[in-house]
Amino acid sequence: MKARKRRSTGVRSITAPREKQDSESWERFEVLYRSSRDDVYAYVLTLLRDRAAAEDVTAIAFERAYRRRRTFDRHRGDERGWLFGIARNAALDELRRRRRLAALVVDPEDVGADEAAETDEEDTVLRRTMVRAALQSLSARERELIALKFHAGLSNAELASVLGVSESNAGTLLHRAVQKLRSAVNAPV
Amino acid sequence: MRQFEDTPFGPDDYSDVALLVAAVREWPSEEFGRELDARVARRFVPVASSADAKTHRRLPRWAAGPAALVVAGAVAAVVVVSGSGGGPKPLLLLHAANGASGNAVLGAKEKPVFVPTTADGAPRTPAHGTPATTTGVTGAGSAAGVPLAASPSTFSNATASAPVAPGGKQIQSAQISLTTPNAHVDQVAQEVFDVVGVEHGTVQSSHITAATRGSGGGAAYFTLSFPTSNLQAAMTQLSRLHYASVSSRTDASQNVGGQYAGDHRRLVDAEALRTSLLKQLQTAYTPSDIDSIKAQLRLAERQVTSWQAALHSLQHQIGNSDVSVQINSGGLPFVPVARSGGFTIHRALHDAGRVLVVSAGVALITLAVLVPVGLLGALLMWLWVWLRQRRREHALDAVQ
Repeated sequence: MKARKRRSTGVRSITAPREKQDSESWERFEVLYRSSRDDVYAYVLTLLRDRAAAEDVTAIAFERAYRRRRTFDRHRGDERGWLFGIARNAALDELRRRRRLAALVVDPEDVGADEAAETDEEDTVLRRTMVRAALQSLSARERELIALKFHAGLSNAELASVLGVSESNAGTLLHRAVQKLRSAVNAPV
Repeated sequence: MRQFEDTPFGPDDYSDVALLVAAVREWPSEEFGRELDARVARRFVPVASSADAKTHRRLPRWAAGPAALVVAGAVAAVVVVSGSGGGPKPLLLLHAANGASGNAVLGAKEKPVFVPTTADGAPRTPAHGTPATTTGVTGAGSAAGVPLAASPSTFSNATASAPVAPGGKQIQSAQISLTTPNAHVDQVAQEVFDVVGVEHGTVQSSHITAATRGSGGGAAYFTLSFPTSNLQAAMTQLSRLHYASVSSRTDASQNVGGQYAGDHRRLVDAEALRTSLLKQLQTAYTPSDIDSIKAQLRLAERQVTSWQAALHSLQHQIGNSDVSVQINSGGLPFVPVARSGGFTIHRALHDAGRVLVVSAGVALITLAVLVPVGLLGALLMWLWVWLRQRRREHALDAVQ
């Protein structure tokens, strides 16, 4: 009596890895979003100096990151560096758009309005005003470096990845920006 | 560094700057945070148009590769069909086997046979008194004749020349154009001479140009004459030369039955006149009558001779057929195959080899199209990315 060959019943194993990959990539994205939402916003706001635009660009950056989450290559860098690269491109696109509309719209520059000025200590308010003024005295690229380093908490290697420069060059640029900020903060008013 | 002398921070310690920046850090509003959280939770699917997003789904990414291949294949097919390769153009032929016909593509060594057809495809018999011509031209099937490809086993049954009316007087002629690789022009020419010897023909003229590397391909032209009874066999052999393929063939026939009968009647009349004059000469008595009859007799003799010569010439034309052979060089070299019919391992291997050669050719053409297009596309893509990034950096530099 011949033994009949039975069909494989492990069909679910063909589709399971795809679902598992989707689930894993979503979970990774969600963790990345939770850990860096505020940092991305702070970084983008430093570049754009417009709260409304920063909110829009932050949302766009996370949406792009979500759409491209499968293209992320862990060998090419950290997820945070990848995310801030996307946010940077989105912010620069917004800057380009605003340049085209520069003749029609006045740059809002609504950052720095200290809503809690009345309630804060006088020294604290003074200190913040001084730091803001020092930051304003920096160039846009230096402000960006400061934001990437201290808002996003990126390492020099991640900075280099986002800015498209070498790691040593990123360190040098950062050092110069920090020195300039220190000088501006300590400069007599 | 004098400015750090009174602080606990050194020049490479950024803790002081971190504290400064943290003090002025901006935080997103709670409303924005909630809104973005909600968007992330629904994975950036718009609330209103979620149904639309499903219906207007774009082409899946995996389909891009096959689509590109299909486009490339279509381009390659267009290139191949348009015959830009420089080789002999493909023939559009009907495959004939014992009267049945169907569409087929002619192989390199299959020999086309041309029979006249009417517009509805039925064989056409030429009307008496009108010249009948069957022409096979590469890449076209004309209304006058549609080329047929006959397999070796059925070739002997097929009619190679235009049909001849039984008992009719026909002058037949043929033209055949052959294509052969440069290196085989001489061999093909020798094969033509061999056919002339076998079929008892004569070479009226020949012109052979040898192939050289510098000047390109050679060529050969022959004007041959065969006994009409051997014409079909000669054309069959010329169509099956080992190193040549037929690129075009024309068979022509002219019905000269009326002309032959007229010439014959005039000859008989002239001979009858001569006989009558001879009888009159026997009975003539007067010198003037004799002289007059002799003069008429000379005229009649000349007429008889003239009509005999005309009739002899016509008979010679009927009995012998002129064949023009043109050999052009060009095309890929090929291996001659055995002429035996049916399936053999050798023929199967030959066919497989041909399929591989054609497939490789199509693949080569596809690559020749795809590689430059791909390189150009990659270059344009790189340029576009580079320009976009440059504009972005410019936008940052322009910020005060």
